[in-house]
Amino acid sequence: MTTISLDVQQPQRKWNGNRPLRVALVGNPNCGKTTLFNRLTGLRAKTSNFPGTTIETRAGKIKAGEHEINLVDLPGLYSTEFAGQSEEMLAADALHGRVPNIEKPDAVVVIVDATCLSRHLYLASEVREMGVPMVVALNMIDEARKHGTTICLETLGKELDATIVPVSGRTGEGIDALRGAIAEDLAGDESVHSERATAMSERIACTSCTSCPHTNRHTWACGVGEAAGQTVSDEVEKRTEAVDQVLTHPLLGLIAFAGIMYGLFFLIFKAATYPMDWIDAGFGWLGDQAAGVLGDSLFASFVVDGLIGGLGGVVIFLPQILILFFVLTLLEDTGYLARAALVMDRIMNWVGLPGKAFIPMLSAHACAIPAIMSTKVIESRRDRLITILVIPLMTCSARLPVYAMVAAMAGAILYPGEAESLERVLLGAALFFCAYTLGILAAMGASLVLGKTILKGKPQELVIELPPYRWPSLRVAFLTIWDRGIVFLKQAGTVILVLSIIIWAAMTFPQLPEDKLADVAKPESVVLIEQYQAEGNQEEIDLLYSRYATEYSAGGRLGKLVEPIFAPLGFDWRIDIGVVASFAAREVVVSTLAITAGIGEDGAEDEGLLASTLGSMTRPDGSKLFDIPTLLSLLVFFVLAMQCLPTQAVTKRETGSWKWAILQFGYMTVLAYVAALITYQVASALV
Amino acid sequence: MPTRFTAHGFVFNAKKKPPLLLQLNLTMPTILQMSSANNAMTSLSVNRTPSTSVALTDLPAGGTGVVVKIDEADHAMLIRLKTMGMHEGRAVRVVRPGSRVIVSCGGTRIGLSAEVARHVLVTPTP
Repeated sequence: MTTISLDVQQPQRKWNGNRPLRVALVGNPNCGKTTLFNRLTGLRAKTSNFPGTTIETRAGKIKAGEHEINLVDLPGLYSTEFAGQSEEMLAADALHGRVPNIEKPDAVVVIVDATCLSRHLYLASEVREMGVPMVVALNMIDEARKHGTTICLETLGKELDATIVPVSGRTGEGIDALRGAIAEDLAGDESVHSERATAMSERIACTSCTSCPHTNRHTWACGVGEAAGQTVSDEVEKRTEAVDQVLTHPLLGLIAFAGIMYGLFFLIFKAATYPMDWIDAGFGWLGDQAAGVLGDSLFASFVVDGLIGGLGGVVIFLPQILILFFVLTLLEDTGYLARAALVMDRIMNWVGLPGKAFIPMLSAHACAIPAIMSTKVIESRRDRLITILVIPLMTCSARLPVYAMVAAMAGAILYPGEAESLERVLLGAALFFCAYTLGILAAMGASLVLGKTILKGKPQELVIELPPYRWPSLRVAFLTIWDRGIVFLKQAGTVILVLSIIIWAAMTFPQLPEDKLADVAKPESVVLIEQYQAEGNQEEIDLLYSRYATEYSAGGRLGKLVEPIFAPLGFDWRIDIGVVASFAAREVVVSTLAITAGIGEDGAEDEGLLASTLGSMTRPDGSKLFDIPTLLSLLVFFVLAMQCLPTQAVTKRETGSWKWAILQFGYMTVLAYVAALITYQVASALV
Repeated sequence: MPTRFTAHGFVFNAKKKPPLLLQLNLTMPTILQMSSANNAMTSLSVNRTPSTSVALTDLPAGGTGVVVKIDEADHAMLIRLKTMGMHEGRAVRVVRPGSRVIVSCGGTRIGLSAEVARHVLVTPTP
């Protein structure tokens, strides 16, 4: 007999049918659990965090027979007794009913991988011993069949004392049978089960008791695996190893990884621009329509600039987020992500992070929000927090308008003359390169410092399963991005919207009464106003009005108030208004500067006009406001500063507390200030 | 017993993590002697005692062995290996050695850092 001393308790059912049955889905990582969960629940599943943690769980209601069942997808785990990682531990605790506010499941569906039966039976045997009613889903049965593996369901069922349902999450095979088994075995008649359990306890006798519980259990699992007629398929292993010869090679693996990441980036930057343009145009149209209906009123400004503008600013991130998660899900499904973590582990260890931190950090070059959301794959909390904290230092796409503005103005100063000259292009490329490099170096430095101070410790040593290569499932990828999209829009959207409205209010109130324009305007502007009034040029008057209205608002006053703070960086109050406004979203600085320069928000669209107008602005002493030291200082400040409320909201969500979002904001602002200060002072001394 | 598991493996092991060998009071010359005479000594009991076990990091590419000792007290991540199916008595094969080792074990491939792998003691099999 291949059994060990399985301490089987009679399955105890506490469920009496007057509330939905709670069923937990349990399985090893890589057993296809999520695919199966999606098959069972479809789009009805909801993602939420375990109470008091940032670990996600998905739950969905399904119908099995006439019973209503609450299906919970627990994080993957290898063992219920020796769970090491926080996610695993939580899954084990939830299974044992030790998580506060989470009720112990009434029954369990254990998912085992038919292509790797013995190993997956380990967990199944542990669950069996817990004495909860269970059904075993023998997943990936189509794949096993293809490899010529036959599994005797009867033997397996007898050994585990449970109904075995062969299924395939990928093709949907056996899903109805699984529903049936859940209805019959888990929600159904009690007597069936107790008969089985009695038979089971008679059969299982202690045949080999040695010290190591793992060995015993694995020996049992191997024995059962063999007895059930499993054949280890050499073909799959050979194929996987052949691919791994390249993909995990110290050099070739890195090259392959670089190629795959390049492709991912290409998609994010190129393919995402189309839906982003549509969203931009859509919200623009919506704003125009609202403005047309509401006219020129304060309420119109609230709806158009506050609500629609704020929402548009959030939704514009969606295409990049969805593309990133789509590709990452496909890569994870094939088994490649585990290899990527392996080949990058050594390199990432240099900055005190594990290999798994690389993809989120790279993704941050598109947008910090999906990057922070994708840090879920990092197991150790320390590693994950450091990664989240340094991610916003990477140059995201929202910084590009700022870089472009600085490059255009620096080009105009250093190479006057033709706007498209080779020198200007080269200068622009050099500035962009330096800005990207500065962000990366700062992130590396920050993770080293954080890892030696606030989050002391070493990166978690690599122990990772490298699953066999498989064709990815598009269905899973689409369900994942649906899920991610909802989470992003719902959770972050509410916070971001509120914050956007606050920023709108700060830049709008107190309002400058139109008849007071002449009172607050500078003498030279008053001359202009009188001239425009004589000409009947209302457009120019409006531009002057919006310039002084911005100055008059709370945000504008704050810009003036903080002038002494930013003066050592070469910023004057006009730049400060832009800096203040850009703490909501950094790209706002360009349009704010355009407003204060008197060319209006629309003037920011014309890069040449913007550069020449801003370039002609002067300080009180008559010198140019945007000289080279100021431009460099501004660039450094925008590379390093935390100026993105949506990112802060996501950091709060993913770390579970505002504490880390505040720390992120604090250290990045200090870093940006000091670096910009040094840049300005050094550059001023040299020029 | 193939020579590849002997001199090179032992010396490398001794340099990196000597406790096992030191416990057995083996000095470097003895080891080298042992290894040079290894082919002739296969029948001697010395090859069947724990002294034949090496760290997983000392197996070459394609090298196989049986796990003889994984002590969770040595490294926190070892418990993870066990639940993944790498435990005492289990046959393993090194797919790729290096600072990140890839091991095939019971139909599963596991990637682990050398820092963890050096705590896994195996008896090489031919």
